[in-house]
Amino acid sequence: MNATPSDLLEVYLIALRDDSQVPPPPGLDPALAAFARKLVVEQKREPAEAAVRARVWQKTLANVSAVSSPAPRPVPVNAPAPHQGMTAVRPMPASKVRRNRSAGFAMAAVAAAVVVIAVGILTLSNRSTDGLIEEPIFGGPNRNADAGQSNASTQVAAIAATATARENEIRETLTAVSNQPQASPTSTPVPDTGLNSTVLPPTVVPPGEVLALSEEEAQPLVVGQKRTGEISAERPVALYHFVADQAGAVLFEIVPDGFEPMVGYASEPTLYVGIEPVGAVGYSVEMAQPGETFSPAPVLTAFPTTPTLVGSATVTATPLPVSSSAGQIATVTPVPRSDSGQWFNAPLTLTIYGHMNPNSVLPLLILAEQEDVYVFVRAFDDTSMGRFTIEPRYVMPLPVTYDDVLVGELTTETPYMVYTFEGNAGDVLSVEVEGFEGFNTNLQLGNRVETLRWFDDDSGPGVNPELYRVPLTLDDTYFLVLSATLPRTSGRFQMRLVQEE
Amino acid sequence: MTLWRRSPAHVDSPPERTAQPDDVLNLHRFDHDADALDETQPAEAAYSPNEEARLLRLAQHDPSAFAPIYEHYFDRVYHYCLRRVDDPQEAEDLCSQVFTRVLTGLHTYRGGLFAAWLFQIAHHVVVNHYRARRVPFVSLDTLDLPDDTTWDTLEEAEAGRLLGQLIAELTDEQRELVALMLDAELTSSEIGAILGKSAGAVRIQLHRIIKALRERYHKISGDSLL
Repeated sequence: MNATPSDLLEVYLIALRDDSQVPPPPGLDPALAAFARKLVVEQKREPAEAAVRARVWQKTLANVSAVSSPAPRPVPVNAPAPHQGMTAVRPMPASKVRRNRSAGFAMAAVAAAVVVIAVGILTLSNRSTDGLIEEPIFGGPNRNADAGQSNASTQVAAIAATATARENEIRETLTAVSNQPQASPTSTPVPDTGLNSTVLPPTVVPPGEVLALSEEEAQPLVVGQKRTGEISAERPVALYHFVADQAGAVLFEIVPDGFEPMVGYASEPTLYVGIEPVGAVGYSVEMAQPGETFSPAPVLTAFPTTPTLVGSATVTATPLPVSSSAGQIATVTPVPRSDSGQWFNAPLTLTIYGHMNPNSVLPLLILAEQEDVYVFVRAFDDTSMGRFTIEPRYVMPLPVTYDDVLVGELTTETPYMVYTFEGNAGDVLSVEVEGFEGFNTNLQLGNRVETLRWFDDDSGPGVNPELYRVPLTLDDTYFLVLSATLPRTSGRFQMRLVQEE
Repeated sequence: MTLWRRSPAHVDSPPERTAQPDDVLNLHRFDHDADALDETQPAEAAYSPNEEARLLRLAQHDPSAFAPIYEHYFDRVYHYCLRRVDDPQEAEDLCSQVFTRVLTGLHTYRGGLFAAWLFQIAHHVVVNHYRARRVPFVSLDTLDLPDDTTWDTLEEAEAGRLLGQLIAELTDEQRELVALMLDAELTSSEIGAILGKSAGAVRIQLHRIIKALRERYHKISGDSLL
């Protein structure tokens, strides 16, 4: 791929930081290069006075001291052990009871709360969705050091000699530029090639399908270690086991080769239950089960399509008994939640699928320290198959505080944001999210030692998620993850953390 | 049917890093070390990416280890803030907020490109600052500058001032991009990571902004070479 004018301009801007006399790369419009040089030179600021640096330092230290709990908090002695937390469903406020699960599904609460399904968003093999990993500025078949030397190469050498280690990437790029056939100065910048925004419908697996999984098949996943897997007719599901060595938001990066993957999580490999909205249909309830029976028998909790957080503390969910066979269609009539009619008071169809719903985007979830999770990978359409790689890694959070208003953008390349804040026992937190122009997002909240996560999709106005008056029970580091709900969608958002009275 | 259980192997193993009881004490020690911030020493002494990674690891346990990192990044953060607010006092305050958040959130740093993380924090601090102030921005397209203004010869200081003025009058988003490129000295990839854009989109936007700045500058200054 030839370097575009914008590529060349960036290369030159960066090279100018260290040497204002460096010649521009071949192919960059000379007039624009001259202006860029003037811009960098004229706008380069002198180092701040030492007194300023010291003053800010002192102010920073004062601020740090003023923060009530600035240091990482030790895990409370009486805090539940991570493995205990996995089995204990934390009480939820009435406003969130719709997310509660029956005792039989306590083990699946985490999974149900974070139905995060990857639908081929990571198919760009040379790109990182982390967003913090640098991608090459440009590459291509002409990145060949053996190509003929030119005056441009001499110029590049001059740049290279003055570049710092930090500019290694730029230096390499300049070399590639000089060895390429002359880039056309009139070439058009390459527009972003975002994936199309088609939302694929879920596929109903024929009744009676059994996922042939066993504990022994679960391959261990380790951060920084990429594993190769394969989906085949004989092995339609790959199962992995991951143990978090630290708390945080963990991304399972799947790079498929020739098929569209789905990913699901479960705290136990024996069952998987997730609930996600499917357009006008209502909610799909998804199950994956290794055998004909559950112990105890599963009971799904139904809730309406348009729940809100306003109303009384009436118990509103309706238990729905479910048989062990997949593909079942069940109907339930939810109980009205309040006089204001916040609950959807009409028959609600729940469709039970034998696979995960592709409506969620990210294989990203919050894990507590030492929490473990089983990760399923399978093909989206249940007919295609192929190889893939899977690699877990932690996503770096952005520290925020109460009353912060966060404005950002989720894109197909960075379809999530991870924030962290220090919360105290007794704090009551609300998180308001507004997606601009109807941008649909969902929200996760978790901390370091508890394993039940708060998850919300549509509790705010419209399709916005909202966490309302969540009581924090521990002094701890908390994590917030905002994700695009629909695969391959982009949009801007505004989020506010409110410490309630 | 065999009920699968969670593997117990990890249950009793201690986490890799847990907060130490004296972490708060370390912060106090950090405070005492404030005097050690030698104003006469160059900020870049003995600093390298490897050293940065080591210091960041150390700073999670002993915040005083953060001092060299502060020295290394201070100018970039300060100049970035200064570009965005154009007021030295406010820039100092914002800069202090940025480093405060970095220090108090350091235990959540997961490795990777520290500069991108640092300026992501700086970006949000500035955004919040503007939201609180509700400062309006003027689009480059609506600059209220006389079109017939020409300066036959711009002295260097005047050229710098005009460029600074033109940048200051960019839209918020445009000025953010310029500040992250010129002052924070980030790459398009790093900027994209902060703003949630692709590196390619950032490059194209910067290209357009600089072209627009050039055209405006040329129109006002009459500088034929540019």
